[in-house]
Amino acid sequence: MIPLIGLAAGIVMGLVLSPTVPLWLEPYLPIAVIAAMDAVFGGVRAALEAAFNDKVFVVSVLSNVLVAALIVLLGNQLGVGSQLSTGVVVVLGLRIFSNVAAIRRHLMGA
Amino acid sequence: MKSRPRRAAAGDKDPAASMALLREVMDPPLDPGYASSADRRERAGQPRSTGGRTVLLVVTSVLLGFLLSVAAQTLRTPDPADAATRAELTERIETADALGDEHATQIETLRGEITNLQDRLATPVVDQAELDEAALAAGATAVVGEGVVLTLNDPPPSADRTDDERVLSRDLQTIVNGLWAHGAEAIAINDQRLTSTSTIRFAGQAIVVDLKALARPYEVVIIGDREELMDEMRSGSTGSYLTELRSDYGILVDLSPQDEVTLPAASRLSTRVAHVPEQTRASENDQ
Repeated sequence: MIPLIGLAAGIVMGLVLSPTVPLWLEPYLPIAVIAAMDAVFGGVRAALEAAFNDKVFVVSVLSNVLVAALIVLLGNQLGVGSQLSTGVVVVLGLRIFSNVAAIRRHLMGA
Repeated sequence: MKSRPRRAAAGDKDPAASMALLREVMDPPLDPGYASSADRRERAGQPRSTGGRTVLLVVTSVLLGFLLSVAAQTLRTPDPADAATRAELTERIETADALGDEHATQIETLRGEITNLQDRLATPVVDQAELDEAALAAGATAVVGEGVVLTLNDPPPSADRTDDERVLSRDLQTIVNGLWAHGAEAIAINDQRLTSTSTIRFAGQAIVVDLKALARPYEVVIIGDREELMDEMRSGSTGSYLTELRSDYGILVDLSPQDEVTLPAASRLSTRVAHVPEQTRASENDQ
């Protein structure tokens, strides 16, 4: 419950402050969001399986976002930024879906 | 608990080991980080889960929410601006189009009134047949006759299609001029009848005939001697022009002779500057 409130507070903060993101950071934003979502669903699943650990969660969020940003950066340097972004989206999307499936199994038994 | 690592026992050769990657993708075990740390806590006598009430977690979730809303705002700002402009442009085009159509129907009714009044006057200064013939030649009435339908269309969009690979106003001008020279008696492009004062030009990216923008495909309907027109469009200078369009620019050209085609009356016939000289009118009235 508390993390959910925190999430809502963060969203409201972002809406109120609406900071301008520097242009060079913009290509990393979508990938960062998807990587963070992957970590979040992984954390929710762990919580449902009674194996949640806050440090592991924080490390997984940070490492996911960093690695995703690194891949995009490398891709941009090599001139295949969009292809690599697609690859990251596909892999993380698969993980998100399978984690959501596990969460669904826990919540609804289906 | 199904969260335990799958490959537990060493040397346990799974016959489906080669499918491990695929299975991991389709039905992955819990993140190994969580599993091992939960095991460690269990061994230390603590509950497996740390619970969701730690400061670290709250800070992270605030940051995550912040990232989410900032990303959403940043990435979607350019689109609404574009969409608003696009919607406004569409609206303006539609209003202008509606106005044009309204004017066209107005012209139609007014012309009908003129004809009625002329008929009612019943003191024909000119012979009715002569009047009809003049109207036919000037494009003031709809006409029917044998002819040819020529359809031109841009090549389908592809990666290597260049910007000049499309039908230009110049193409339509050349074709129409060639047809006038070779037996065409009436021509309409997309139901816009061409008269002696018609214009075919470019406005931005659109071909405009008599101030009305045309949409692809361009359908040129020509009334005239079918054989002569077809000869011109197959082997005459218009024909070689069409062949060039087809082979050099990939433009889709379709020719079909018709037994009977109908062309509408032109919507713009009035002249703004030219008028009948006084002498002629006086002498006509004298007769």
